Amino acid sequence: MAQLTARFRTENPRYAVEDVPFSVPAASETADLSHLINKLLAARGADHKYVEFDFLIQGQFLRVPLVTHMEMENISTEEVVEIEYVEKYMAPQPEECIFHDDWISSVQATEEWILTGCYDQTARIWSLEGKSIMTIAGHTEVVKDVAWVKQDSLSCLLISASMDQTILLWEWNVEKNKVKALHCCRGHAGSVDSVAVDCTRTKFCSGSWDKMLKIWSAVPTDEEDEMEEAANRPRKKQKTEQLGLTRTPLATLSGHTEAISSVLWSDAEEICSASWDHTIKLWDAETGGLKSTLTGNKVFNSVSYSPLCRRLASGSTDRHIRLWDPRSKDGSLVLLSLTSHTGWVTSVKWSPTHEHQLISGSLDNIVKLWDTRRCRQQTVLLQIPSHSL
Amino acid sequence: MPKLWLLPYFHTQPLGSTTFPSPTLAFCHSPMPKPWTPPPAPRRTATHQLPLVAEAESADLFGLGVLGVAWRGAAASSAVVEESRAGVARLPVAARLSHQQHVAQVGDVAGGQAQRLDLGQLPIGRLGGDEGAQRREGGVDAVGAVALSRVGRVPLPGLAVQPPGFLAAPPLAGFDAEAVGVQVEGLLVGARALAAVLLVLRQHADLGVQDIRNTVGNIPMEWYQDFPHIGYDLEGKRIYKPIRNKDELDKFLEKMENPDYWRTVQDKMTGADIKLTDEQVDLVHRLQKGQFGDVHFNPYEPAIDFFTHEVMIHPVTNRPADKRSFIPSLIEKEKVSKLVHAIKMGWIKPRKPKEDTPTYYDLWAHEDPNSILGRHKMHVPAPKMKLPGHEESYNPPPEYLLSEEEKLAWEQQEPAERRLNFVPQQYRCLRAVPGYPRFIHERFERCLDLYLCPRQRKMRVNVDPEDLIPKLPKPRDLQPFPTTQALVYRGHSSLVRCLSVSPSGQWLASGSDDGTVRFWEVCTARCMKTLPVGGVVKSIAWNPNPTICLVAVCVEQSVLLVNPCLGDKLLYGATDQVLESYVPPEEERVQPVQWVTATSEEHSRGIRLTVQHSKALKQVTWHGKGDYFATVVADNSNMQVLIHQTSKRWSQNPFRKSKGLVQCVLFHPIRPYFFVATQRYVRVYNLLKQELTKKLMANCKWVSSMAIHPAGDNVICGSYDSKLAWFDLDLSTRPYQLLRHHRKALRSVAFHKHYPLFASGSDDGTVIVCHGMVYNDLLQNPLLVPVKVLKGHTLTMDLGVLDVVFHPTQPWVFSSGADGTVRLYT
Repeated sequence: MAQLTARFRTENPRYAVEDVPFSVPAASETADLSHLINKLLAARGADHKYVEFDFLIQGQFLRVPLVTHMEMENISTEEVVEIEYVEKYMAPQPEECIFHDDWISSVQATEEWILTGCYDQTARIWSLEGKSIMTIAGHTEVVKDVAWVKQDSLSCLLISASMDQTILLWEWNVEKNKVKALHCCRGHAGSVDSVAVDCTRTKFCSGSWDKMLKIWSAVPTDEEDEMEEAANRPRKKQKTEQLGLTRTPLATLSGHTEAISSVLWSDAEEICSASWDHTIKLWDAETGGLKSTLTGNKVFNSVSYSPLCRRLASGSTDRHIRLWDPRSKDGSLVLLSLTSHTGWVTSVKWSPTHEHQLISGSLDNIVKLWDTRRCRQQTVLLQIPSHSL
Repeated sequence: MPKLWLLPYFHTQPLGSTTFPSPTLAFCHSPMPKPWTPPPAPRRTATHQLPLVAEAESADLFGLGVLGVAWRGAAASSAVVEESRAGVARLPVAARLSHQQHVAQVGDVAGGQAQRLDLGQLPIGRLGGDEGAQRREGGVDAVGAVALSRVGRVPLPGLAVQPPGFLAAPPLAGFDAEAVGVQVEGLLVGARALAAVLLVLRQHADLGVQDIRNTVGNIPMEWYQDFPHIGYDLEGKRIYKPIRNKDELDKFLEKMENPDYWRTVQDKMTGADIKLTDEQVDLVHRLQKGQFGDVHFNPYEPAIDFFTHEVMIHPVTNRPADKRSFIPSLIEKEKVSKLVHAIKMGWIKPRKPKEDTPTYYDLWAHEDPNSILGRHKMHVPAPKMKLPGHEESYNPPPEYLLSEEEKLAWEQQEPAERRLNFVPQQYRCLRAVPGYPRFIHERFERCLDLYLCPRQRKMRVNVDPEDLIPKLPKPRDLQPFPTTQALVYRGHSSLVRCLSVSPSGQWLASGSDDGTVRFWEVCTARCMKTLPVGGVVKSIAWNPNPTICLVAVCVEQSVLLVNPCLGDKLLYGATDQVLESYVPPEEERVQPVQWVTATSEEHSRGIRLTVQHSKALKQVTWHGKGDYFATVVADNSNMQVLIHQTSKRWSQNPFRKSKGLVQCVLFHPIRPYFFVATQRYVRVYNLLKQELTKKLMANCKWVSSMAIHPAGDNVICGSYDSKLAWFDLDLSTRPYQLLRHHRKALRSVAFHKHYPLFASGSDDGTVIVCHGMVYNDLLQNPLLVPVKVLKGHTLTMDLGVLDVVFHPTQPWVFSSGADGTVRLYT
C-alpha cells in the first residue's frame, strides 16, 4: 500500500502535534487521518477526548481519499504534503423547540433573548431557554421582519416591520417586562419585508414591496413627525387606534423596479438591497445615491454581507447561493455559486466570526452551513434537516 | 568635217531574227559640226541601196532609225499617218498599240508636230519639231544624226522594258524598201491603205529617177489640184505635174488596151502613173490576205525569253553598281532618326506581342437549356462494361483459379447469383484458348442492357431529413422560462378550478370546488385569506387595474366582487370608496342581472357586490381598464355573454343571437375588440362599431380556453382535443400553428405579460411552457418553441391541470390542479 509523507499543522494550539513528516497510507480518508491525529494527541496527553477533525490541503477540504484528492488537484505525491486540520463542525442537535402558533417570518437573537416575527401579527421575545417572555402585538398584519436596535439591561429598543406597511419601534422594559410602541414609521405603500439597523444603532432602513428603500431614525423622540398627507386622502381609521408617534423616513431611495426583499447595512454609510428585479443595489446612505448594481438573473430573496471576507452572499429563487464582490463595479461576476439546495434559498447569513462560513435556509426544509473554501465535491459542512411541514 | 556615219552593220543579219546582238552601237564620233550643213544630195541618192540607219539594240533607237528612213518619204508618210489614224481605230488592240507607236514616231518626226510619244519621257516630239525646218531643208542623214546624237545623250528609262508586242514586230529591223513599206503598211487593211502603200512604193520606185526635192510637206494635196504643178524645187521653180489630158474615152481605151492598167496607180504627189512590179503586186496581195509582207517572215517562230529562269553565270548587264548602292541613304537615315525619336518620345508604341493563347468561346453559353438541344445535356451514358480482370486472363494467377470446392459451389449457385459468370481457366498459351461459347449470348445480354437502360433521368431530390426540421433555437438560449416547481400552495380540499394573480404579483387568488376562494402570498405560499363563498368557484379574475383591488369570483349563478383587503391599505380603501360612491340612477333600468350590495356580514368577509345572473356562470373576465367585466353564462340562449360595468352597476347583453355554445370571452388588451370563443370558432367583435370583425377557425372540435398576446395581434386557443392553435390575426383566420404537445385535453392557456412565453395546462397533469416570440416586424412570423414540460400535479378524477396563469412580472407560472394544489414553477 502506497504511503505518503504528510506534515500536519493546525492553528489551534490545543490540538497541535509535532511538526514532523508522517507517513500515511495514500488511500486514507478524513476519518483515518482524524484517528491518526487523535492517537498522536492521546499519546501526548492522557486527558485527551476524541475530536473529529477536518483536513485541508492547500486551502481545500479533503472529502475523498487522500491520493485521489491529490491527483485531482495535481499535487505531487512525491513531496511532503502539508495538511492543515481543524476541528470538525458537528451538526448541532436541536436543544429546544419553540412552538409558535403560526409561521415565523423572522428571527433575531442576542445573547439573552430571541426575537421572532410571526404571521399571527405579533412579534415575540423568547429567552434562550425557549420561554416566551413577551408578546408584542400591535400590528394589524403579518409581521415580516424584526430587529433589535439597542439592548440595555433595563430597556431594549426593537423594531418590527409588518405587511400593514408600518414599522413599529418598540421599547421593551426588561424589568417591568412591558413593551411600549414608541414610534410608528409610516411611509411605505406596501408590505415592509425587511428592516436592518445600522452599526451606530441610530438608523435603520427598510425595504418594502412598494419598491422603496427608506431610511429611518431609530432614536426615540417625543415629537411626532408631520405626516405630509394629501388633503384628498381618505380619513384614516387607523389614526385613532395608532400606536406610538408617527415617524416619517429620513430618506427614500428609489431605484428598484420590483419589490425589495432584503436590506442590510454593509457599512456605516452603505446600504445593500436585494430585490425581485434581479438586482442587488448598493446605496450610499448619506447621499441617497446609487453606488453600484449587481445584476443576477433570478429573483433575490436574501442577501448577507460579511465584513470579515467582504463578500455578499445572495440567496435567490434558483437554489443557488451566489457570492458577490460588492466593491467591483457594475456587472460584476459571481465569484462563487454554491449549489446543493433543491428549493428556493430564502435566507443566507454569513458567520459573524468565521470568514469562510455562511448558513443558508431553503424551501427544501434544510439549513446548510457552508464553507466557502473551495472544494469540488462539497462545500456543505452540515445539513440541518430541521423543519417539517 | 564632222560626220556621222551610219554603218551597214545589220545588213548582214537575217531579217526577222528576234535575237538581237549585244549592243554595238557602231558609229564614229567626232566633235559636233558647227555650223552643220547637210550632205550633198547626190550622195543621198547614191545610197539608195545602202542601209541608212544604224541598228540600235533598243527599239527606241530603232524607231528613230525608222524615222530617219521615213524621212525620205516624209510627205507620203504624213499621209500614211493621216490615213492610218483613221484605220487604227478598227485594229486589234495589240496591233493598234504598236502601230500607234510607229505612226507617232513617223508622223512626229516627219511633220514636226507634237505627237504623243510612248517613249517614256523622251521629248522626241519637240526634238523633231525644233529641227523640223532643218530636216526639211537638210537630208535624212542630218536628221537622223541629230536624232541619234540626242538620243545618245538622253537617259532612256524605258530602254530595258520592251512591250512584247513590239518584240513581235521585228521585221522593221532591216532597211529594205519593201520591208519599210511592209512594216508601215502591214498593219493597214483596206483600199485606202493600199493606196497609201502604193504611194510609198511608187515613191520608192521612183527614188532613182524622180526629184525628191519636192518638199511640199504634209499638206493636203488638193491644194495643188487646180495648179499645173505640185510644189517647188530647190531653185524655186515649179515642179509640174505630168500632163493629164485623158478624157473618159481615153481612159476607157487605155483600160481596154493597156494590159497593165490594173497594176497602174497614180502618184498623188506627182500625178504620175506608176506601174507596180510583180513583187509589189504580190505584196499587195499578201497584205490583202492579211499576211505579213515579208515572204520569209515566220510569225510562229518559238519565242525565247530575254531573261530566262535559269541562273546565268554572267550578269545581264555589266553596268557598274550605282553609287547609291554602297553609300548609306541620307533619306533613310533621316527617316530612321525620326522613327527613333518618335520611339523615344513614346509616340510609337512597340507592337503588342500577339497573344498566342487561343481564344475559345462557349458555343452553347447562351443556349436555352429547355430547347430541343438541351436534352443533350441530359445525356445518359451507356452503362459501362466491366473491364476484364485477372480472372479473364488465359493464364490467371493461381489465386484466381477456382479450387474444387469453389468450383462445386459455383456450379450449385444460381446463374444470377454467381459472382463470376465463368470459371477462370488456365491455358498453356493463347493459342490453346478455345472459342468462347457464350460470346453471342453475352453480346446479346449487353445489347439488352443497352436497350433496357433507363433513359429517363430520375430527378431525385437529395434532401437531408434534418434540413426539413425547422431550425428552432435551443431552449437554453430562450431563458428565462419556468423550469422547476418552486412552491406548492396547499390548502384547498378539492380541485382548484381557477387562478388569478394580482397585478402587482404579490397575491394569488384561487377558487376551488370546495366552495372557498383563497388568497395566497406568492413568495411564501402562505394562505393569507380564505373566503368561503358557498359554491363551486368556476372562475376568478383579479382586476387588472393596479389602482383597484377587486376580485371577481364566479360562484354558481352570481359574480362576487370581492375586495381582498390585501396590499396597499390606501388602494383597497380607495376601491371600497369607489364602490360605495355609487349613486343609483333615478329611473330603474331593466337589466338582465341583479346587482346586489353585500350585506354587512358579507362585507366583513370582503364581498362588496353580488351580480346575480339567472343561470349558472362559466367565466368572468375583466377589461383592461378594470371597469367593465364580461361573464359567460352556461346556457344556449342569446343571453350567454353579458358585459357589466362596475362603476355604474349596469349590465348589458351585447348579442341578440346565439352563435353557438360560448366557451370563453376575452377583451382585447388594447383595442376595443371582444373575442368570443364558441366550440369551433373565435369571433372577434368590434365593440365600438358593434360588428363582427373576424372569425377565426380554430380547426379543432371544442375550444376550451383562449388567451390574447399582450400586444393584441396573436391569440392562442386551447381545445379539448389536445390541440393548441396559435392565430396571427394579421396573417390569417386559420391557425398559424397548431401545436399538439399535450396528450389530453387542454384546460387552460395563458400568455405572459412581458416575457415571450405562453403556457398550456392539460388534463395529462402537465404544463407545457412555450417560447412564443412575436416580432414587431410584420414580415417575420412568430417563433414558437416549446421549451419546458412542467410536471407536478397528480391526476385526480382524470383531471390534471385546470388552470395556468403567469406571474405578471417574473417568468413564473402558476398552475392549479385537480389535486387541490396550486403550484408555482420558476
